[in-house]
Amino acid sequence: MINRRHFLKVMPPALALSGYPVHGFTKDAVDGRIIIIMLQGGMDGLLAVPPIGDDDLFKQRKALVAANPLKLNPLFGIHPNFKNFSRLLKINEASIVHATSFPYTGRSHFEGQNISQIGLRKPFSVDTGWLGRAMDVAKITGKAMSLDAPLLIRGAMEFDNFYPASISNTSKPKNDLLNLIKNSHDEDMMKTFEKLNQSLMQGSDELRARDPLSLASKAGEAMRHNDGPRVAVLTIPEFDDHSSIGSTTGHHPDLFTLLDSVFGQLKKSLKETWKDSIVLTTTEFGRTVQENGSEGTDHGYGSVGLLAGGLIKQSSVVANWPGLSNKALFEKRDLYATIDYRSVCAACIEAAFGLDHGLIIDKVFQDKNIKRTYHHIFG
Amino acid sequence: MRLSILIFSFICFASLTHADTNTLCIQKFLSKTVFNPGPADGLWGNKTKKAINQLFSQADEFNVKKIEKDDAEKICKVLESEQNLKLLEIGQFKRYPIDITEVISEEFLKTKFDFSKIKINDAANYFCSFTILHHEGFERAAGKLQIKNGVIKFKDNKWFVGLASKGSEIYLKEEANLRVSDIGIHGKIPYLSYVGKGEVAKPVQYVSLGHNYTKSNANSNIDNGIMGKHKFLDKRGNEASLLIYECSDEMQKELTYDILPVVFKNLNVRVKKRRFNFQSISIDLDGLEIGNEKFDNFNLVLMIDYAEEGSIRGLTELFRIQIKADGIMPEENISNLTNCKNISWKNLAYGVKLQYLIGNEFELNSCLLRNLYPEKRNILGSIANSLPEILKAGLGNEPEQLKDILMVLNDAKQHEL
Repeated sequence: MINRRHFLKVMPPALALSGYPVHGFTKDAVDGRIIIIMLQGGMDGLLAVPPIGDDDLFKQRKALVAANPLKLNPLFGIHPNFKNFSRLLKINEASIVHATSFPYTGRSHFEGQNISQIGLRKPFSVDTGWLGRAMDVAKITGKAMSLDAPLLIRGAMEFDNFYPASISNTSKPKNDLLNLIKNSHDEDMMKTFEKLNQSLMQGSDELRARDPLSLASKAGEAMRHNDGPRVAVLTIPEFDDHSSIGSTTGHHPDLFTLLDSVFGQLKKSLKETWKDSIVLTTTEFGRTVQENGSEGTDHGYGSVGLLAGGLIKQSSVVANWPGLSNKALFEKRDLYATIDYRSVCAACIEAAFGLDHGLIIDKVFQDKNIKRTYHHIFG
Repeated sequence: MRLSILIFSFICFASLTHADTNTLCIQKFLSKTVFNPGPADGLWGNKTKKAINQLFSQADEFNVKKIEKDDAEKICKVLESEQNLKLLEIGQFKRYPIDITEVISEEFLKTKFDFSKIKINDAANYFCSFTILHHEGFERAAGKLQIKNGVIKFKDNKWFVGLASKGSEIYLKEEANLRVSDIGIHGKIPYLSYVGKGEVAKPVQYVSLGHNYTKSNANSNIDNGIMGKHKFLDKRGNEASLLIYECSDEMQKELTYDILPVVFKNLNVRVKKRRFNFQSISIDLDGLEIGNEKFDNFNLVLMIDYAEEGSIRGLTELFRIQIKADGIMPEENISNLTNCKNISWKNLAYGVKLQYLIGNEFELNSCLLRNLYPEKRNILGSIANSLPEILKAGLGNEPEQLKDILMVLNDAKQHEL
């Protein structure tokens, strides 16, 4: 029988593209692009971006610190597998937010993933995602192309979802079906579906690519066009490492390499559009500060967010570092999240969609206590 | 017991006598941020000093340098002004700047350099323009750089190396490894070679600097070792150079390549008859406005040198826009034009004419632009961009002639990179 944890492990990487400018509706559309990389399972932020200047790190963790992190500044380093991301940091096109999390301390994947997508404090309280609502407010509409439109981009506005299923002996979606969908819409929407149909017919095989690197390439190619999607959501699963997580090498470091390649591929395939883009990671929670008995880490609270894109002007690590002494830990075991990650998401929406912070926290996150991090991330 | 009370009273009295309302105002403000000033007691101590300096170091736009106790009144006024909301917002999170000094990848090894025997000028912090000059004098690359604690970081830059120009801006940003000392610039940079049409791409060279520095003669209070020519040898032993100029404490607005809208009231276009392979078009514009710059009368001449039939250069050998240098560049810069190829400027009996090149020789323009007044640098590019509209407005009655000229212009543009 498949259990929940196993289900999480076998969920495939996926890509959803959304926010295609609809003819006659988004003529004044913003140029910004947002790409979310959902790191499912809970990324270990202390392994990815170790606070090498905090002596308590080495007291709390005996094995799970990479042997040769790249020093970013006196307090923080980064895992050596993040080579592309480090280069982006060096050229002021990336930033890091540490000791951060969505407002969730329950340590359940299902609740945590739901909160990271709906952006509200109570899990399963709405059926729309924070990015979808942001697109609604910014009046960025259009269709999603995905096997399963993630909750993150579902908004209140009309929304359709289409992805050609891989059924044996069908290499391309059937023309009749595509035309049926197209003809069920009027005017502007019909034109948009015609455009989508054409792209599906031309590149349907590529769309079936399921590895994150190919999906990143596909996302960049689609988004770099003027009439391409404004939003993409990529998922990289399998971060739920309870045992043999690895330090310099191993499973988590391999995932860092993969994530790093995705950043590199996005920059490459977005080309000129990179300057108008922001890529950010989300994860449902961090992992425990101390390693467990099987050289893994368990579900925790605070983690790290990685951001890259041409919209960033000055690289930095943004953190209200809580420390790693026993006293400083959340419930004596987890990194305290001192920054609500929704404030980071809000800053990305502000930078890419040009919305006012007050409007974002009111309409998108429905929490007026979310502070503004725009200055710290985008300068 | 009495002695303890006496000492305690003395300390309290001493504290009260040194407590300062301005320091207290600073401490109360800081207590609402993540920068901890210690207890709000009105005493200027190390914690207060460190916290207020950390806050303002994150607030670049306030441009406040090192804050001492004597500045408390001034700072308190800022904290009590309308700007306090902005500072309060900035003070909610800490930024730890990135300062990567290590080698990141194998690629970076190509510019690895041993700085251990060089005294780096850690106090050098400037924003500058730069150009990389080929040994024959013309520009290979140009753009902006930042000097931060003696380390050079290249910002926006452009290489003018034909087909190799595409995507080349990343080389200096990612691979250059330079430091400033009092006697020049040291380290290694990538150096790209020109690749013409039909030529095979040439490998990137990695050249060393630090052998030969000539300080700029321009009046400047910028530290030694920065402004001027830093020579290096390419792989054939030819002497090329990195020229650093226009350094300042402030980030300079990039004007060179900005394209502005061009507006005019009236115009007169005269197409001259073609003679051999040359043809010119004279355009007089009245009431011309380019961005904020206004001109009552402005004359420009399009100079077309047609190519021989079947040339790989397309229809034109050269397509130039020629304007007078008067008012566009400082007189003292005219002598600098000798560094540019002579097709980009002409010293005629009736004054100096500047020539902006469209097409094949497009890459030479930055040499010219660098010598113009900063606020005038986008004039030529903006005119070049608006040429189709200008020609359409002036030759509306001559559709055949207009069609021919636009075809030549478009062909020339296609040879730009």
